[in-house]
Amino acid sequence: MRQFKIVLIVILGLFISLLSHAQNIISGKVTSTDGETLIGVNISIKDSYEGTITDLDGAFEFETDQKGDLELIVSYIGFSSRVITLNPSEYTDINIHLKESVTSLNSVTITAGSFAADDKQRASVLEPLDIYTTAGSLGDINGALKTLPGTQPASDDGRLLVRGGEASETKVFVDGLLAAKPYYSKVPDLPTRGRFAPSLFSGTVFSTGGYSAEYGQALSSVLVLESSDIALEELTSISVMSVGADLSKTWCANKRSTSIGLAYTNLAPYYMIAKNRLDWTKPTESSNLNFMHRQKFDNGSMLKIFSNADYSLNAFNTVLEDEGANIDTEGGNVYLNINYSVPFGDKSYMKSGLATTFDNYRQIAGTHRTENEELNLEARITFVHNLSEGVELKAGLADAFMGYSHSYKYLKSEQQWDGGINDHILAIFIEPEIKLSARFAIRPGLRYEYSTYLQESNIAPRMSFAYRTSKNSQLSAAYGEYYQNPVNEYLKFGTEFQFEKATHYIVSYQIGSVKERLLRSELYYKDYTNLVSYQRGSHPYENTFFNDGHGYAKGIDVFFRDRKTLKNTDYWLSYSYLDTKRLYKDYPSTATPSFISKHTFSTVGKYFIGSINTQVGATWTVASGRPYHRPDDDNFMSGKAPVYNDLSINLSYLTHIADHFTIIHFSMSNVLGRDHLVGYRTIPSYSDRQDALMPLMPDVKQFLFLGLFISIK
Amino acid sequence: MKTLLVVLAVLFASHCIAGNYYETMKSNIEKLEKSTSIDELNQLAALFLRIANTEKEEWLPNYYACYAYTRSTHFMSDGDSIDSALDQAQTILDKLLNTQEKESEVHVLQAMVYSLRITNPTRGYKYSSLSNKSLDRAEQLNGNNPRIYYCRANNVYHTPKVFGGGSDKAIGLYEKAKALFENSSVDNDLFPSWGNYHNGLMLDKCLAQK
Repeated sequence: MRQFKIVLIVILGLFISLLSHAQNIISGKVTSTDGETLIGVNISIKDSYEGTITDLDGAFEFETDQKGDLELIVSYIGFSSRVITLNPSEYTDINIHLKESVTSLNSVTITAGSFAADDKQRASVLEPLDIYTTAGSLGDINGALKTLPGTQPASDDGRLLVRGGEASETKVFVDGLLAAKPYYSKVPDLPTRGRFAPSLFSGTVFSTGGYSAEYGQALSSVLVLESSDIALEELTSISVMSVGADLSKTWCANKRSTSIGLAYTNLAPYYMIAKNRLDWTKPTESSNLNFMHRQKFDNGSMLKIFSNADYSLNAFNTVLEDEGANIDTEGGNVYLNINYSVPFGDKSYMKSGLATTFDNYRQIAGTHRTENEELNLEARITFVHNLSEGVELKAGLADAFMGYSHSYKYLKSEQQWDGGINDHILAIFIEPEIKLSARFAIRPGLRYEYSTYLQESNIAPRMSFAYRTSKNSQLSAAYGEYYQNPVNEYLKFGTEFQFEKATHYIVSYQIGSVKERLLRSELYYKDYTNLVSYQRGSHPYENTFFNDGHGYAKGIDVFFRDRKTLKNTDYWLSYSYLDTKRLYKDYPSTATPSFISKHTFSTVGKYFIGSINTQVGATWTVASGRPYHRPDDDNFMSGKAPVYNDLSINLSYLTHIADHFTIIHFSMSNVLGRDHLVGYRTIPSYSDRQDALMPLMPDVKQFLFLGLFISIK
Repeated sequence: MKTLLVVLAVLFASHCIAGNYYETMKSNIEKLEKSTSIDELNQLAALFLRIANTEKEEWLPNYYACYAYTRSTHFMSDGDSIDSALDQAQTILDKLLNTQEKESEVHVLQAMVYSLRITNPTRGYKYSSLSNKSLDRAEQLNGNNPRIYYCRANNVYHTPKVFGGGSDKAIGLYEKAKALFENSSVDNDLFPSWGNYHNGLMLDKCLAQK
């Protein structure tokens, strides 16, 4: 009984002491170090459930039974958490500042010069799907990228021509490794297409200048394609198009997926119904096979294998040197890319990869027969290490081998020329990316290259800055030196060449968000030195070469994208102003090259009509006339081609055939029916005769495409 | 006597803390299931996070914090707010998936977060694939979890007919979920039990549309 009494007293006493606890009030306000009000910040007392969150004014207030010195934990997503020790006199009117974390999703990213099409990066201006839905792109990655500022429309080429640079100045990389032949072999004056189907990639970064030290051997631009991750669903796709057919299948298992795709293209049926300019004896026919395998291992490492093989041929009749001639082209290509990345702890990883391209190309043009065989093999190891929060160090080592052989035969006189190149380009790069705060980042880089063929080396410094001026705007700048071996067309004549060189200076400002409205403008200056120039000899194989060409390119690129103002509508506008002159090739004086338009404007619009499951789109491109040289003119390159004005439309209807998701796609180029005389090509003469001019016009005035794409799950 | 007092005090104190956890969780889970206010749901999420920080051995506080953020998106209309709430939910889920990979309920919640990311049609394919993948894993771990079929039914229901969805195809799944909800017995009343009420509403809606 006595014991019971004691227990009762203890319990009562405890209750009383609980009830008599004085309720203390804790209150204050939380702002970011920039003075921004933070809403929803979690405030709690250490080791208790007590606490609250901040209201719309960033203020908080709550009662606690605790007293004495307290530890207050203040945490908020994207910001570094803080623990604040309070003594009773400091319980109220606490002012807390939180610092934005450098690892926050909103923190600054380096964007100068680059356009990302990806759904991970904040700096993206495009989404992967945009590549398919852009009218006029015809499902070609390059076609969609040509609607971005900094590129030339060059409808006679099809490759990317960036900020005054030649097509060879842009290099394509797949998962960080070189894709040496990203385009189908090009027939003179006809546009070519990219080899790789856009559906194989989940991310694209297109850099128009000032790019990282990770990449070299490109004077103007790099296009970095990131192949898709492990597929989640088994899928069979069948496509039937007016120009061919596609078949692909994806198999999935836990942590791995494999896919195979087969494509066949034949333009013959199309020419039977459509009018075209050239006299085809063998309309383009090509077959393509691709293979992909992705596998994730238990140690977190990832293996990616991507391979692509194709074969194509075509032939047409034309006039060469006043004589009828048949141009017959045949080419085959195999690409293999193996990538293995393995993490070391949670702070670093290593990426190793091997990419090889084997390319064979044969052409008979009237009485000229040429054959090229090229093997490219790049091996690369890259280390990425997080030195501390916000500091990431990237360093790598690569060897790119190229074996090239070229043979030329003049069929009339048995005159022959054979030559080749064997070159290893060794490269080392180091590049830390340092986020000094959530607002300011710098990325200094250094790249060293040695070419065994040229027996020359170069050291290229690179530097990028980005400063976030407000939540949705940032200022970026980049500088870099870029070196590249002269193209094989020249290099095959000997080793007495040097690297060609370009120096980039870029300032860029971006405001808004790609989800709503985004405006970006970029100002650049590019200086070219050591370009290859030559003096014509008695024959194309007897030119005298120099390495003293030079030039510049300067301009402004503006990009505006808006998906908010008009309902169900997404559009973007691009404008490029480009002022460039060069003294290279066999130019007698400094001039603007013939592939350059000074002003280029393009707009892409997409509108989704939900009620009929249809997306309609249009792309309109206008470019000022390109220069050309009249053989009898004293002023070099003083001719000017007419303005280029193209309107392309497309329509995609989403439906299903026996429960399988189906897209019916229609597109049409040059709706306005214009001639599209984009310029003239000079055909050099090696005799007493004058050079000839060849008008550059499309083979098919208006191209119509109809396709049916079925996905079977 | 002294020993007795100490024993009593310890017992009392431990009972106090345990009781506090259980009571606090129980009353706030009830509040969470009734709440329709974004503010209140954010407060509840924050509270569950504070509990999680104290009760480091328990996974349910984190689960409910995540569920509160997820639930709050039902009362939002613009894509950006939904995304930022789901970002917070995902941060917690990443932790849960690390420590409770074998718990079916965590994968169901992940599936729900993925489905709710579909704020515009262009995200449909990616996130519905991810969501179904998470549901597959949840089913592997516990095929009797009714919320798997409820979420799967919602995915099918919200998928446009042209992509192979629609209300007709969802009925079977809602019915399966209903049967499991009715037979499920909860051995721990803090354990997730949401979904039954809504499942019934959706089933009726589908049947009415037929």
